[in-house]
Amino acid sequence: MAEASFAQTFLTTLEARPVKLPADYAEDPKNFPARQPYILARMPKPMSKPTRLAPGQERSIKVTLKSLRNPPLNIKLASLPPSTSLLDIKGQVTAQTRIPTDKLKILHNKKPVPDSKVLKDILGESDTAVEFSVMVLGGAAAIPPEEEAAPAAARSSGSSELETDAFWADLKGFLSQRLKDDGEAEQLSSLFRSSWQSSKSKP
Amino acid sequence: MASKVDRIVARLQEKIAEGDYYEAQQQTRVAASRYIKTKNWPAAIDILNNVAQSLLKAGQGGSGGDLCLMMVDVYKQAELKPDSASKGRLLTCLRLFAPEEPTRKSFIGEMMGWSSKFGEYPAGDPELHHVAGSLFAEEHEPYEAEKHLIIGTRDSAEILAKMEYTWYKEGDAHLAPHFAARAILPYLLVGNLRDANAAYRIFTKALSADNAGLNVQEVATPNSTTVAVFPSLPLLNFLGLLLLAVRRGAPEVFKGLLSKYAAQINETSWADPLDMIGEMYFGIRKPRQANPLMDMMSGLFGGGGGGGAPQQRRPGLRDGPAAPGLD
Repeated sequence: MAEASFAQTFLTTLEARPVKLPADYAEDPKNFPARQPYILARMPKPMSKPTRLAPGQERSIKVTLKSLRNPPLNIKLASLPPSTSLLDIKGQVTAQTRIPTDKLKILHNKKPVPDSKVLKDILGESDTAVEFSVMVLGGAAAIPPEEEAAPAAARSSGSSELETDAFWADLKGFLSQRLKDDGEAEQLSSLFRSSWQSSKSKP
Repeated sequence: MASKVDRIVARLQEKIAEGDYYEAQQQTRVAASRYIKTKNWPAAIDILNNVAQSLLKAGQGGSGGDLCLMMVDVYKQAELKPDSASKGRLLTCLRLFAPEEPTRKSFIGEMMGWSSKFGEYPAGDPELHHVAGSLFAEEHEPYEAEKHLIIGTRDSAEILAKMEYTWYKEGDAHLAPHFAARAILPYLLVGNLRDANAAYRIFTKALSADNAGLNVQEVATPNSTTVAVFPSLPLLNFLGLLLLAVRRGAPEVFKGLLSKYAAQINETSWADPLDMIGEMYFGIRKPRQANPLMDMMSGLFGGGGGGGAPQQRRPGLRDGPAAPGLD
């Protein structure tokens, strides 16, 4: 029992000294130097390779998202792989509800879950379903209206497209492929552009 | 302009579905470059992110990885700050890489570099480190896992301790302390007593759970200071006592501990880290060759160098450790 008796004596000696650090002390990572941390020297034997699950063997997760408040929501997403991130899930909610991703807040057991987490981090090893609650920052007011503005936008976007260099470069690219002649394409696209420009300036 | 980008992405994803991977990659680069020229960062990022993910999902690690690298470059040009969305995008891509893909390593390096330059964490964002480290742990790449998990989040300690324990189980039973130390000592060296303790607890708990016959005795003082003692694993006891000793920082206590376990410590590679721990927690300065890199360390633990930030002065905690072999 040499180990135990040394430990006993040691603890008694220790107690005579004042505590300077709590057991849960952790230096703020914002103060770390800009370098890799020290790690111990390599071991004589490498670690063995893991057995890899075939994709078919991976479980499928059923995800439900509910919101009781404003707006009320009940969204079901089926067959997600455990590697699906919360950001991906938010994306799916946005696709189904038009609620912008950045206004969504997802909670599990009343605690908010960061975008970077994946289902695997939250679930137990054999769980196949999970329920989240979802909050919409700003409530139903945050949901943008359907794009009835679309037709008007389409009308004006045509003429604004013609202002961009990108459009004329694309046109030249098309002409060049179609005519198989770069020189002709360059001339033509410049011609089209300048005649469009002068037609604009006519009263 | 969101719908225009959506159309471009849809077109490129069609190309990918047809197996036209190189075309898709090249055209994405061209489209992204145009947006970059006009400083339309969201559009550039959107297109790179979407196509990169599609390529990665199609098993095209090289081209997918290339676009991911370009995306981090746009992050830098845009001076994007690390936040939930910007990090989330990178992490989603990271998880799509096949483990053997060579470009993944560069991607990880670049994302850490971006996060350290534009975020508040000079050594890289802890969340990013946690995810990268967890992937490496899963893949049984212990050295890479350690480099990230030691500067990860609170959740990293469990992943690291369990990985070291799994690795330990592949070898001889008496080597348990050597594997436990791989988590405990590096955590101490970044001033993280909390996670050094967590790793010790998780490792020893797994050890006891798997070894009903393993002799363990709890030693306690009348004042309720306790430690678990494993008579057959002296170095594990050393680690347990060290974790208690660093809280008090008394140099002669540390020296006494080292002296008692000198013979066993001699069989390990712990001399350097223990020297550094001696300096950090016990104020024991060892003469060392002039190392200009050490001067950069003085910001740690409220030692004079940093200056500005109001930090609690911790007596006994001095300069940070010098990590060998700076890349």
